[in-house]
Amino acid sequence: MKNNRRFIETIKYCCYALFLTGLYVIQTTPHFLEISGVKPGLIVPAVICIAMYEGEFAGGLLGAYGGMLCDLGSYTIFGFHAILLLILATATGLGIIYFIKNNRLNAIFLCGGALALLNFLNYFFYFGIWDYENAWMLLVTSYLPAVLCSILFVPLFYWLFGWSNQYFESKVKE
Amino acid sequence: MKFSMLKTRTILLVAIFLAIMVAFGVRLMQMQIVDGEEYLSQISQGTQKTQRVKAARGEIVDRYGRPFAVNQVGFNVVLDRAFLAAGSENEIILRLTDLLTQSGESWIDNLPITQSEPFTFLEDRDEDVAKLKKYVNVNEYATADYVMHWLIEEYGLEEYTSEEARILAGVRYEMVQKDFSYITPYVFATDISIETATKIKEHSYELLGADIEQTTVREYPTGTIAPHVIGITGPIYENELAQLGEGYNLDDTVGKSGIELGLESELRGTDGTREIFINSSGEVVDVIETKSPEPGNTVVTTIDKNLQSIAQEALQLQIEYLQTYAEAGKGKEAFAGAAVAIDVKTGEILVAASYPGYDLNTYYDDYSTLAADTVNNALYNRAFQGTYTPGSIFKPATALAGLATGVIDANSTVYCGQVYTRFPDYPARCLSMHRDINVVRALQESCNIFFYDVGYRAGIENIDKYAMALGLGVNPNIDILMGDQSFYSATGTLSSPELSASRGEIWNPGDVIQSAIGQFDNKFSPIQLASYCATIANRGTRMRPTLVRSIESYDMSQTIREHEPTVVSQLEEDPSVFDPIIQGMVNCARIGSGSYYSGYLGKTFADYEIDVACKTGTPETAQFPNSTFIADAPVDDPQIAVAVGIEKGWHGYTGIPVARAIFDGYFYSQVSSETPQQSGQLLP
Repeated sequence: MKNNRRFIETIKYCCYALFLTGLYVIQTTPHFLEISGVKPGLIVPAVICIAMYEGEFAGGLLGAYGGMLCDLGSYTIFGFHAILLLILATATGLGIIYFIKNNRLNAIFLCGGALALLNFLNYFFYFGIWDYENAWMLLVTSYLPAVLCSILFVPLFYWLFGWSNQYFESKVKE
Repeated sequence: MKFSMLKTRTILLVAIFLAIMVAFGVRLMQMQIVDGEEYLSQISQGTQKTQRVKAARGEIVDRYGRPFAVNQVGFNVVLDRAFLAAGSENEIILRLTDLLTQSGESWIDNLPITQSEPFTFLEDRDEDVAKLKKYVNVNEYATADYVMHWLIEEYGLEEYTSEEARILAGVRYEMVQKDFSYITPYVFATDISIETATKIKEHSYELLGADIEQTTVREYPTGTIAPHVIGITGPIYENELAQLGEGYNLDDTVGKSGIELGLESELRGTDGTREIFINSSGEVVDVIETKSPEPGNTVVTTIDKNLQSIAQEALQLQIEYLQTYAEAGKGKEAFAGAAVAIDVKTGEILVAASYPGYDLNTYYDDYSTLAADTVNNALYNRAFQGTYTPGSIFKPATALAGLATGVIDANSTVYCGQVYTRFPDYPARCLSMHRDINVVRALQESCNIFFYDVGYRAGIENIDKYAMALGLGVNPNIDILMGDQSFYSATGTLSSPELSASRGEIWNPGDVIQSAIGQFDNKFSPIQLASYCATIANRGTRMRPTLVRSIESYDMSQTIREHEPTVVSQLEEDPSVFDPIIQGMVNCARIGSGSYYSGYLGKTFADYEIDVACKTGTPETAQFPNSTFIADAPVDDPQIAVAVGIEKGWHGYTGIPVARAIFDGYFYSQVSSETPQQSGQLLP
């Protein structure tokens, strides 16, 4: 039973890692899913949703992996997203265990919060503190729409990882 | 066991976190310490912007190098985003407008709203108003007041008086339209006086971001000579920008008409670039010209400026003479016309006069008046685009059809009893009873009956075939040395059953006889008629008309392309087939209608020292007859062919004084040198 669980969970996390890699490819494909110049970030909501179902440890690990993918696809210093997503995913996992109900609305709030925080920090470090003229326009016309656009995918990810969690659990129980 | 797993997991998470932190720290250390100096130097260097340096536009000169369109040194006031402190735009603009107002100068303001309250939209600016409303995103019923309110809010003009706000809104709106940015400076005012330029320079300490730019200003030293041919330049429009494509910006000036438009790519030149280095504080630390601008090429036209001037003056004087001295209904109504002279041997267009004309130097000031006058239509290039029923000047083409197909020979006669009786229900008439008449005398006396009969027997297919071989009803395809591209000109129409059918009309047998004397659907432009006359003089060799003699480098030290005379078509018939036609036209000049009328000049071709071959035409129109006239000379060795058309000129011979003036100018006051003069040399 124990060996079966370990094997199935390994398969599951490998699938999640592959899925995140697929999302990275989609996220970095030029103009794909782009609406009026706004492109959604898919990895962050996926990682948060995984953390909500899989807990702080798997969530943290996959968060770090997803963050590294984000770092690969952006101009930020390597590690920036990895650290933040590791912390955010671990915190989400712990939060779901101890304080927050695991439902779709909370998923939207948690993902929205994580996306807002990440995007704001991105804007702040790369534009805000440099006092570029009209830099706030970037926040309004680029970052904020990207956050809103990304939130649209949360229900999908929440359902998908909920279903996969149950599916693998059932396989463990068989 | 449970505790151990939790511990392991926590340690693992912390380890991963630390590992990433270490990687992050190493990367930061590399940036700060290892590559720190490089990044620091990049920061102190700041950003680098590439600006365009506009190239001087090529000049347009006549066949002897005399200037039509040249560049003069001028001064523009330019706003440069790189030097303009953020938030200071409105103050700088107001200071500049104050200085310009004091000096009596104006600045660019295309906002279609009145200058003071109550604000209303300017008349005749519907398109601009629509564009403005689209820009401010209001509905089409929005008032000017509402639009101004929006502009005031958009540009932060609340603290200014309404007059100041209107000035600022006008400039700021134009800046947006012209894509003002670090890359594209904004031309605030053009061609200001040197005194004003000096004054602005003196105040430069309080006008940061505004500068005086020495530039070239298009000038037309003889703006009234050949304006339709030379054309005009103007600011580029958005649709033109899309058409012209790469290399053009919204602040560019481009050719709008004439040669300025047709040879835009040659005249334009290649813009240069300069790099502007701005440090992190936004101050300009260095400016380097990385690519020098290359001026455009100079276009040497085939027009003879003196001859053009003579032709324009003659056309005007003759029309004024008719208006003053002719009887009502017999030329007094003449109001417009055109004259074209062409070099018979090369096809080079020496003269392309269109009356009434306009002055290129005051074109934009006069534009609304010129455009509104749809009767005189001075903007219309009658020489190339106007089409006129040719009337009797078409008869040489019919004669050629008859002679070439063997319907007649030089001695064949037709009996002219003043009425053509072939169609009992259509008794077409002649002006006189010529009795037995051959082709030479028929051309000399312009006998209609002769050409009715020859035309009928030759048939419309042969008439059209030979007319086209002589250049009628085919696009003259005026060469401007730009490959397949040609100067815009009308194709005209040749009467034919097909043309009638295309209008849903039936071709009647009588239509061929009207076509044979240059009536019915025949309509040709003066350039086609001049080319037609030149082809007759050349005995069937038709040269391609050309308007550009060569394209030279800006300083004319190097020839880029040169016109080579091109034979468009060559009649296969023996050239002697033209003998009776030319003889008839010579007789027309000496003792026929070419000798009847002297007009303002007081001279005809009857006693001209040089043998001239000519033909007059009096085409009937809905109101008063037009005047058409063609002539070439000298008959033995033809050099120049002329076509004159006068709207409501009553009779073909009223064009004689214009043609005679052109011949006088060509043969007796021709300049000695035919070689384009290089820059810096005195003109002959």
